[in-house]
Amino acid sequence: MSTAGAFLGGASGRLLPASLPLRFFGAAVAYHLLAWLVLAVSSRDALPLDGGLGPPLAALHLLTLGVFGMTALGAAAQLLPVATRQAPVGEHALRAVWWLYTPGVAVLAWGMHSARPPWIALGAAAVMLPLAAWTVLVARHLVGARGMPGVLAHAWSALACLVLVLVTALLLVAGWLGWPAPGRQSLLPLHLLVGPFGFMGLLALGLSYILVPMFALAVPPPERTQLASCVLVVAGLLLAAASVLAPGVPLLQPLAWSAGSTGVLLHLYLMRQALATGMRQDLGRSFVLVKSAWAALLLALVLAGVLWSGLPLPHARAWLALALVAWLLGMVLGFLQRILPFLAALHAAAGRRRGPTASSLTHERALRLHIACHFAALALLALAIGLGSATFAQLGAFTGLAGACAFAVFYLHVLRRLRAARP
Amino acid sequence: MNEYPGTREWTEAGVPHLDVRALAAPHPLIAILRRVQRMERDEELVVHHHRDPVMLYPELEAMGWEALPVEAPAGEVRLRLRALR
Repeated sequence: MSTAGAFLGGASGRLLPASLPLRFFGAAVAYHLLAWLVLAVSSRDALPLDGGLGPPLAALHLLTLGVFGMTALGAAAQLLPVATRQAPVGEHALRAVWWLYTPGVAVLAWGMHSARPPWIALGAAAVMLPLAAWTVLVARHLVGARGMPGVLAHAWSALACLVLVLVTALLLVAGWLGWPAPGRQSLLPLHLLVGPFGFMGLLALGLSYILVPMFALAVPPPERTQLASCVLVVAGLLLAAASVLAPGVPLLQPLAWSAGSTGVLLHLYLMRQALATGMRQDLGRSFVLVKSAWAALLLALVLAGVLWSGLPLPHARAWLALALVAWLLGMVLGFLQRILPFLAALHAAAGRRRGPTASSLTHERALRLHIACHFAALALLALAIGLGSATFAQLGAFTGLAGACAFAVFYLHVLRRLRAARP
Repeated sequence: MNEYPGTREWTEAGVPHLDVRALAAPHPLIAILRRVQRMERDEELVVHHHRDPVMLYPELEAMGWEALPVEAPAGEVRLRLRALR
């Protein structure tokens, strides 16, 4: 099991109470299910995602805020204290963040689904307030951090992007309410840039420098190379943002793409090195998901390049959206498959020299079904885009829903085993 | 000796000691397991850690090793690692 454990386990004083990260992960599991459900029941008449209000936008935000955001909040709250060798901070505040954020995502998604701006405004407030509070909590924590400069640089950059996500979201909601706000033509691309690539992307890249070596039992990549990758990705984001704000300036987009892609390639090279040199070579099904996520990230970069270059590729935006979802969903679910049993094993072992192993707390059959459904769902959605077929889209969404149910079974199984194993 | 960067190694009464206290996570775990991998089964190793690495134990067990607590000054966890008999 979990080597990972030794990392966190060696820092039991830095562990949050089990209920805290597990409630964030549990909500992510629930929203994963809900996102596929919304897509399944509405994909027939609402496939093309044009950024307007409706079920696809609701499903997208259930994924981004409900699954990716929720996991990021829980994972960062637990991992950063250990990585930075500090006690966890703001336990009560984190609880409050969860209580406000979790229903907030549902209200916001409902507002988007039913195209009701007042509900969107209410949900947005309930989402933005806890996200802002979380930003302050993490920033306070990072100020006192020691060691791991590569992870810290990614975390600071991700926080800066989160602030921009919040600002652009606020202005987009203001637009929906009919209040004075800058035009959507610049706000939306900025929101789409700093959300998935900025906040989620940088956080995923940074936390990978902790998680991948931990699971593979590898020496973490050199800090200087981690920093170089971070600088390149941030430069790419800044240049891309500049190209949105100043569309007439030449070379901004190619420069942004080159810098961002080089940074990502460097990151993937470091990950490959960690996996190749790690003491644990068989990382199981979870890393099939993680590796598929990396492949999807590369595909997303290629598609972004195609879009910017103006090459005529039919449905390029939809392909890019699918690649982004495949990247972040593969990453989040792959890591959750490992983190959940390992965290449970760690808490079950509290006060004992030997606790249950993570592998004894997992549910292999459910995970096997999940991964099959996950890839089948993505393939069917790809077919749906290629053929413009709503039937394939719905089939894909229902397959994704089946996978999400299997993942929920796995989560509940881990919880049950943890309860039974606790001394 | 192929020492892991940031660790300190010395020998006391014929038993090698490995100090991983200066390392940030997850280096201590990797350093310890890599060191154990190079050891003969009749050898022992004393590890100096800044915390109780509770989940190191299943990893060691999987490799056929165990860790026994050794008396240590406050603020340090000291473990004697040996092959399972």
